[in-house]
This record gives sequence, structure tokens and C-alpha cells, in this order.
Amino acid sequence: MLSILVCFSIIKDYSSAAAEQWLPERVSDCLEDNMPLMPDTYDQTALEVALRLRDDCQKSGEEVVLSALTVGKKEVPRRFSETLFALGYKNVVIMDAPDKAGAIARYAEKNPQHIIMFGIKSSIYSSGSTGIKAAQRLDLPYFGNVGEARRAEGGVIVTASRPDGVVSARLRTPVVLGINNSVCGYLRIPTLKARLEARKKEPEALLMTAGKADILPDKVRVRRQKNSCRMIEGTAKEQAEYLRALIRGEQL
Amino acid sequence: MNNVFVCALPCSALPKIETSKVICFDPSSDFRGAAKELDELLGSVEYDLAIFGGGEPEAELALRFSVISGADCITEADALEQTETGITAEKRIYGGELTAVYALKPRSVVTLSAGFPSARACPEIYAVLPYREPDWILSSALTEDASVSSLSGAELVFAAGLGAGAAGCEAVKKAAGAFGGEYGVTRPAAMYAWAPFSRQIGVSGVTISPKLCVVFGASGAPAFIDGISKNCVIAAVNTDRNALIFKCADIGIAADAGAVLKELLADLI
Repeated sequence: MLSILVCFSIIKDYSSAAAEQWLPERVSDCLEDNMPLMPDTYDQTALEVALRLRDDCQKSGEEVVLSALTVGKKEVPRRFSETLFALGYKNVVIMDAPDKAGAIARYAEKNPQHIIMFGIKSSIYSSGSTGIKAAQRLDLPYFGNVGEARRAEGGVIVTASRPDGVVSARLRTPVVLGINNSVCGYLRIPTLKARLEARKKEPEALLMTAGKADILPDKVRVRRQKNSCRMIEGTAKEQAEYLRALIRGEQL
Repeated sequence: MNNVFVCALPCSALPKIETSKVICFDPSSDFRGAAKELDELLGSVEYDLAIFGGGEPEAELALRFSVISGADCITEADALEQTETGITAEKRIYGGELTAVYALKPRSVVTLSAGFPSARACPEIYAVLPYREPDWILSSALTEDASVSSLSGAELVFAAGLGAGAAGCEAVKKAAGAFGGEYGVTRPAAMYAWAPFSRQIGVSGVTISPKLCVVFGASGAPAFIDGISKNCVIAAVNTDRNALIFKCADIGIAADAGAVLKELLADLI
């Protein structure tokens, strides 16, 4: 039997904000506006990688228990928790805790896991640090930039990108994996039948007040961006000619 | 500033900051052990800030060390400044739209962003953390891929985004070959398998610092733009005159990427 816990973040979809909302005088509106909520894209990849690992285990008849956990005050969209149940996640847990890594570690101590997965770039402030911090709290090893995981004797075989190439490693479990780009990066879509079944299930809500929150910025300011873009007009041929000259260094 | 700088071996360059002590470690070591060693090493040392290099091994060691030592940790800092009241660190947040400024307490931990400017060769090393075998890695094999290093070190880069389409990605590859540059793609284009992930430019891909980057059909998402050095000249081609990419580019062409690429390659292929 293999237990896999995937941690995901619910974030505001700031890509839907208009460019004007990032201007200094309106930026606070943007941060407080009712932006649509979405699961972090890297975390969605982690959720899909876990499903693919489950599929791999099921080929040999091995049972896999999948759990998905999020920590934060943002509401998990109902449709998303339904999707997770419908795809085969047995437990969907929503924790409210100031210390994300501490809360995840506490949950994993009470519910031991063979593999814990995180998206590598999740969270707005911490830049994907929660997974490593949770690994340290649990005294577990961490393997980052993983794109794929398969079952192997005594653990898992992972494929991960490195600055000098791609590494394939057989890892002993328990282990924490940081999931980056995967060849199947999008979370699959459940069948309608499975979704209807999932509507009967409710995520588990847990509250954990102990622990110290991550450091927050003392101030936030709008980034200065280049605003001196020189637009090149003309036909495609003329524009291409300009680019050729630029590449040759004539306009630099 | 009385700083400690921690970096993975081989230590090739220091960031453009004052550093009093340099500590190195083996990036293939078990970081659980290395973090404990570092905590023991720095327990009796006076320092204001522990700064870690911009690589992934450094980030893991920094975060583990911050948990053990109980210190605040700021990851991927773009700038560090000594002010009258203390040291501040800046980093990009909200997809790069905003800059967060943190006033750091003594003995805080900071990791630098990948593009943090380097200054000079590494001076005398204060300590090297002992190597700890990661016994949980039962076996591993690396398949080398030179495209990452050639892309990150290229002086001329052609990049394609979703708007360029699969054909545009192919054309960008040809343009790179024809003009002696390298090619890369945005994350969505890599997700569509128009190019391998080793060609993905951005915060979760390769960070590049060419003299010129010609971008076709990319919206200019911060996660992509942040992977391109600030000193680089960006020429962008996009049909949408209001696209975000034109706020970051030096030269803009509001036109169809495919049409411009076709003309660009017209006499070459």
C-alpha cells in the first residue's frame, strides 16, 4: 500500500486583473478585489503526477491512498474539491493555520505518508518554500524539480530536471517531492458520473492555531517597468528587415 | 554588513555584496545533515545575515537551516540594502507585479534570486561543510542535455510563446540556427510540447542573460519575463498592441508573429 499526500494552494488569479489595476494608485484595490480563486498551476501538476503514480501502482494491483491538503484562509472552490474526490482522492483536507509548513508536518505525523508532493512555485510570498520547510520539520529528504514518478521496489523512480540535464533517480520512501514541469502537466477531467458521486463527499476542515506565520513584507510597491518601448511600424517585410539589422547589431 | 555567504561548490563567483565569511558545501550532500552542521558552525559566530546563493541546492539548505535556527527566511531576493535602521531585502511577488520590501532581523536567512549580479571570484573560504551521503537515493543516472547551458549562456535568443503556435516555434528554432543564436519558449508553449522543457525560459525554467532576445507571440507574463536578465534588449512581436510584453520590451512590433518570422527567414531558407 502506498500513501500519497499532495499539498496545494488556492490562489487569487491575478492574471485576470487589468493592467490598470497594477498602477500604484489602484494596486490596493487589485489585492483586495474579488479576484477569482484557482488552485496553483504547479500544484495542479503535482495532483496529476500523483494520479499517474497511482495509475502505475494499480497496474500491479497495489492499493494507493491519495490525500490532498491545503492550508490557508482562502475558500477552496466547491467544484475543485469535487474534482479531487471524483478523480480518486480519498481525503481532501482544508486546514486553517498560521504556520503552513508546521501544519502540514503535523498532519503528516498523525497520518504517515510514503510520499508528500508540492508544486515548486506555490505560494505568493514564499516561492515554493513550504515543501522544503515541511520536509525539514518531518526530518525527511526532499527531491525537487520532479516531472514524473513511477513505483519501484522500496520506493519510487523519479525523473527530474537539473541544470545540466535530466536525472532519473530511485528514491527510498518516505520522501518529499517538489513537482515542476511535467509532460502531463494539466490535471485530468473526471467523468460526469464520478463528479456526481463526489457531490456527496465533504472536505475535512481542520483548525490549527499554533505556530508562527511566515514573515510578511513591511511594505509593498509597484515594480517599475520599462515604458519606453519603441514601436516599429510598416509591413511585415520592413519589420523583419528592422529585426535583421537589430540582430546584426546595427540598431543596438 | 557583517555577512555570512553560503554557496554550493564549486564556488565560482560572489554576489555584489559585502561578505565577511564564505562557507561552501557539496550540492550532492544530504541537506538534512548539512543544515545541522551549518547550525552548529554558525551557532557561536556573530553575523547579521546569512546569505545563500541563487541555486536550488542553496535554497534547500537555506530553508532547512532557517527551520533549525528559527530564523526568518526570505527567498529569491533581488536586492539587499543597508539602511540607517538595518538591512532590507527586496523580492518580486504577485507574479512579479509588485516588489515586497522586508526589514530583516539580525541572523535572518536570505536566498538570492538566480539573476542576482555577481561581482568577483570567490575569496578565501571560511569553512566547507562535510559531505553527508544521501542514503535515501538508491541509484541515479544523469542524461546530459547541453541545451540548458547553451541557452542560459547565449548572447542572442529567439523565443516563442503560445501566440506563435507550433509552426512559429519551429520557425524560431530555424531563426536561431540561421542567425547563430539559441531558441527558447514560454511555459505554455512547452506544456503544448512544441519544444522540450529544457528550452523553457522563465522562473521555473532557464534564466537567460543575452544581449538581445527576440520574442514572438508571447503575452509577457511575469513568470516568463523574470527569466530574462534586466540588462537584455528585448524585441517583441505580438498582434495585441496592448500586450504586457510591450511594457517590458525595448522594441515592439504589433504584427502577426508568423508573418514577421516568414519574412525574417525569407532569404535564409
